[in-house]
Amino acid sequence: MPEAFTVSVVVASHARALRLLWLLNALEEQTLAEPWEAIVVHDYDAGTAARVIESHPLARAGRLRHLAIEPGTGSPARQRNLGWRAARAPLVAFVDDDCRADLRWLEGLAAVAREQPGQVVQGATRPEPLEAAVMRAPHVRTLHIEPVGPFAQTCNILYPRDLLERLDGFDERAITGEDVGLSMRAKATGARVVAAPDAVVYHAIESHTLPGILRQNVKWRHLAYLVKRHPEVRGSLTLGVFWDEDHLWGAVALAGVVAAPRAPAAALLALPYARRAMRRRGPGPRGRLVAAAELPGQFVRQSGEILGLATGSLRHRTLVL
Amino acid sequence: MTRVALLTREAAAVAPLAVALRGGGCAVVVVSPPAPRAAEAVLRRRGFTGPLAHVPLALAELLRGRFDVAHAFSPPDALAARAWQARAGGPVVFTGTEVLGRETVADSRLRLRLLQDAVTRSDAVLASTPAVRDAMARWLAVDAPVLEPAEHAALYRKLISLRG
Repeated sequence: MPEAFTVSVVVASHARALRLLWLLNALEEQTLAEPWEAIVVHDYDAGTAARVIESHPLARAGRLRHLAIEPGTGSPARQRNLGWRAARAPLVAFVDDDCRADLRWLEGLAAVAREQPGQVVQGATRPEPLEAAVMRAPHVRTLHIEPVGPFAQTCNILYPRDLLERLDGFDERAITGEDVGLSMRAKATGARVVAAPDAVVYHAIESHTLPGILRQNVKWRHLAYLVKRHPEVRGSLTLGVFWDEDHLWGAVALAGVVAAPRAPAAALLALPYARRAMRRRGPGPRGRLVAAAELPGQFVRQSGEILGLATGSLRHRTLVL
Repeated sequence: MTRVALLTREAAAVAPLAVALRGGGCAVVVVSPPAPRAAEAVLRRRGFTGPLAHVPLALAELLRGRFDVAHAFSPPDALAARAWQARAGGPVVFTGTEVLGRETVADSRLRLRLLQDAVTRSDAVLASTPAVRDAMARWLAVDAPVLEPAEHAALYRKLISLRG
């Protein structure tokens, strides 16, 4: 008789085989006593899949399966849908391939799911402390979420499988924000997002060059689709329009810089942004010096994000900046 | 005679290999230029892996030496060796010498990039001990054999002939 799993862990993976390996190593050390399984949906070649997934101790123990899709055909929504539909447990936990699960992660999620059946359970996501030195790079990407956050990201969340079935899973038309959309639809059915603060994953801290981070952030233009589909998201935006406060002041500064050649006084509009940006490396003189050196690059990055969102706003006819 | 450069920060650690290679008819030079301290300190303060500042000096020494093979024992040295390869064309061997763990595999800027490049872009990847080999398999998904010092000369000859 096949083993009855309590939780299925679903991971969508693309272009991060090594990070995926490290996640699998962390999953191998989970303390959850009940049986659980992991399902990886990826677009790696057969050799990489054999080295990273099939030869992993979890696979040899019968706890890890993988679904390979054609390279270039994946998206987070499609891959997660394939993953949870292949799941054999009544609870489905999602984690990102660039995260390290704390050894009590699954135990923490499952405990809250048992206490509050039928609800969505969100754990905590924190920047990887083992990579803290990388934060000194000018352009980094990581995540910090203490539950319950407004966006219910899939880097650390658990859904009852029957709720996923009722919702028909993630919206595959969404390029980004598919996880936010799913949680909005879950809430509309009466489900709540509840906190599992002891279920912690650590998100990678990755540094990028300025062109690299600009390229990576192009995808955020698709957030306008999310806001169009779920206008209630505006409640979590700054002034209902700006993604966060940095974008608000970034947009004001950008307007000032654009207008300054004709009206020099407009350059003053950049001051609030500059004042905020000067504080990002701490209050000391060295921190201010580093922040000043990084300010032009930060402004270009911020402007790129805002212009990307403006492009998405035009396409989806709804304003998000 | 095969001219071999051994790039390392710890010359004593490669002494047995150097002796074996000389016994096998190779000419061996240990490339270990001093790292400029001020530059290294700035890089460390900005969160970079290290030592890094010696890499241009190591490259200059490699280019002067007319070597047939460059054998690196750290990821930054492998960077110098690959830069040499781009100009001189000889094969690069990388030997991992650290027992990697999750806490060290990506703990600073450029650390993971240099490690990944060292194991994916070298002509041969080795491990210095079975413990290092096991750690490289677990954290880098790399199968790196452990070679006896006496076996290296044959490996170099094979790599040189493959590169034509």
